[in-house]
Amino acid sequence: MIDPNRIEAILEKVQKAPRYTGGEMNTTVKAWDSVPLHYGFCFPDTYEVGMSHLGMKILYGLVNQEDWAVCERFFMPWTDMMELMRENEIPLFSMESRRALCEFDMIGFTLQYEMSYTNILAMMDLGGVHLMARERTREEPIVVAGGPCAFNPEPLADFIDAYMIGDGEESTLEVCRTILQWKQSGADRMACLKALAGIEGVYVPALYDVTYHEDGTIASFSPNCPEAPATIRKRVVVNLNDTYYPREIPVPYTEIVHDRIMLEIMRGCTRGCRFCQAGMLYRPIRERSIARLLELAGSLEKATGYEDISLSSLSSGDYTCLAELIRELFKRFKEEHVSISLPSLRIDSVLKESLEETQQERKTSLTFAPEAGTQRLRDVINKGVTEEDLIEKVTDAFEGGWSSVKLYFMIGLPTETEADLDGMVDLASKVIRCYFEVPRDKRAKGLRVTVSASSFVPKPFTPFQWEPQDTQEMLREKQAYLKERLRKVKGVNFNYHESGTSLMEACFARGDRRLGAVLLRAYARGCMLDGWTEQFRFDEWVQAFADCGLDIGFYAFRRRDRNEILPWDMIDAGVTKAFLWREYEKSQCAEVTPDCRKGCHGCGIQRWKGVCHYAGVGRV
Amino acid sequence: MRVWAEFEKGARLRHIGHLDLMRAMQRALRRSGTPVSYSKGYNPHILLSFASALSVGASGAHELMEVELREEWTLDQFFTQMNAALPEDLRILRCGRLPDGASPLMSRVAAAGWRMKMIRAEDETALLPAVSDFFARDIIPGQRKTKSGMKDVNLRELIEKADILPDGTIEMILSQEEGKTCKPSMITDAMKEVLGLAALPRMELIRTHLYTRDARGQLVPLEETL
Repeated sequence: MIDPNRIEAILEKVQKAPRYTGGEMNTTVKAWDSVPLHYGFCFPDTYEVGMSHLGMKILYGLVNQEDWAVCERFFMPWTDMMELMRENEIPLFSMESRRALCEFDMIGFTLQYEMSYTNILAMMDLGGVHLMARERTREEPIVVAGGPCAFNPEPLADFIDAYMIGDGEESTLEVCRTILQWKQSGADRMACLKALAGIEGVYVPALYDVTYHEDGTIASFSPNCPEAPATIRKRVVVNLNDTYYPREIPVPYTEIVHDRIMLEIMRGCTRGCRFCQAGMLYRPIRERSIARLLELAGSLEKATGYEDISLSSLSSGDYTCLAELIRELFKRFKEEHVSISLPSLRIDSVLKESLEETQQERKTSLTFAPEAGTQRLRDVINKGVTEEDLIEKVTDAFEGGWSSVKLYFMIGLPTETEADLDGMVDLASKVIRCYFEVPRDKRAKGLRVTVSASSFVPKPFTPFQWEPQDTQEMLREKQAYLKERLRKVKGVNFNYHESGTSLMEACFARGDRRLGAVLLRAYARGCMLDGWTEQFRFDEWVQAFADCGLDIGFYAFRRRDRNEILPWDMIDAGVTKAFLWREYEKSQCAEVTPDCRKGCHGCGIQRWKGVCHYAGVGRV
Repeated sequence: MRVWAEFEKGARLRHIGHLDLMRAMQRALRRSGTPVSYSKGYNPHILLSFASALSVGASGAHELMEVELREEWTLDQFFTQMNAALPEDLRILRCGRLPDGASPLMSRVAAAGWRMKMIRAEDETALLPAVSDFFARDIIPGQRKTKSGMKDVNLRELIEKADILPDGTIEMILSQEEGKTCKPSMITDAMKEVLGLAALPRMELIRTHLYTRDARGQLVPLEETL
């Protein structure tokens, strides 16, 4: 254990010390020697971001339920803290027992976002764990990773011992038990890796070899030992009602990004938007029952005292009995001053009734995500939303007393032309017109329309996984064009992001194992906390690629051939390559694919028996 | 029904500021099942107030708060259920009923007791004699933040009492009266200046009591008058 006095001494000098002090309500502290397995759960971003993440709370509770294991939390320290820790030779320590990262038997990183990869290196480095997996000694932790970015595990292959692909509730305890058995066995590290590879959904990069063509594309990818399966099938929770969900979650002292109860009402999405990786990865759609949700909400509210519950899912508007659920929640919490919020509101959900109920508490701004400016491009990306839908919902919102609307778009989508950019401007103008068409005495004051344009990043396991990303010049030109045109629309606020981050995100989203060298190099050049605009150093990244002799354009701007071996081909994410290609071809002629609840498109998830209620339904 | 409670803010929470502590206490009240009253209006909040905000960096041994309940409730229930709902670093020590119409605790606070202790023994050996001289001065030049900026003050007038105990603990009672409020940081800043140090050594800081004035004008711990 680290001398508490040394930690206290630096805590007095850092900003936002409560990020590091722990002791929050509902955290678990077990006597270190009372359990044989110590799991350090690492969120590779700051406390405020990590503590807002639902997956961490689920897995933290899941592991701590077991009497043979303890799970403690680690976050990425901010730069001031990191400097002080280095200066005073204090290793990265856990929030609970304040032990160093290297003292744990296993450590797990959740991969939510490509731009957090250097934080993983920083945390291991600070925690006294060798960065390169092959250099780790038997005494060092087994380093595992999961989360959406684990579906392309290759850019971090040098650093991670084993990946858990798919729903973590399914594999986490199996992985923990395997590591515990290995720890008690005395066998070498390789024995552990091979045992882990035998668990369904686990990918161990060291057990696979890759060769490359001269042009840089992959020539072969294959297991180098009999223990490694040729393909790794993701794990899927069959029934959300039966799977673990925490009944008490840590309540931070300091304010975090999402400081409330998150109630996951369902997992997966049936919409099939072609740009959306989550929509593909989290298939099939699975709902929690209203009875189970009410029961969980009751327990969580009692255990936390939170005054806010948000319904969480990829597309809450699609929950079968949403209006009933909201009504029931209101009824249940009417006396207790709990507000219910719906975060990812889709514009084509039948929500008028629900909207009227949410406004009882307070009116924040409403978010709509048409994603593209014209119907043609919305059809290309299969965003099944029409202008009439949007106008209708916006009108409802304005009549219901909202005056602040956010419109989310993407630029750089495949097949985009100037007409699509003009479409965004047109849509924003129509929204403003909607507002003024509501009689003055019936609408709220202070119209605010925010148009936000993010840059499209092609992701693995989407129909656009073969597509090039727009170059920075192209994106900047489009941003400048929109800025100029939207400047003339009164009442609109235009937001966009610097293209450098999207470019790096694109490289790592679809990168191969050679990018491990770039990550190491970028980290050595001081890159860290890259998801924070003020910390992101684009020039250093460019230099890191150059230092490693790798070409950014190869990863970001290149159109992949249909037959190319993609770095993530060994992962079976549910959706098949054949389905994705069909979807890609349909996108090229702006042909839509309806919601799978209206008929099965044979995406591939039907191969998992009994998990998809819509598998094979009304097959066309 | 109005309830006062005396509570402890543990050392681990000394970096938690006033607003965060208020929120933690409000959530504990909700968890405990105490029938709290809410304010009317757009953003209802629990009718809870602390007798005095405790600044970041300090723990508190006998802090005080008052809360309004919407129905009759036994003090026993309040005490037991609150302690069950609080994290280990926050403890209710005592509680009681405030008569209707009694003046708010906040208005009764006249001074606060503080205890400062240097973490390292060698710092004490080196500095305590000078600290002792510092408190013996007739004029202790300090600064106070006012609406119109920083203003020079003689801290002597704001220090009700200052002692150095045999074990090296510095004990002070500092004024909290309107226009004469003295924070411990004003003392340590002045100490740094007078002693000619770039920085003071690490010290533990505890607010020991809140004081009120009795009928004869004497300072007495506020919790003892409740």
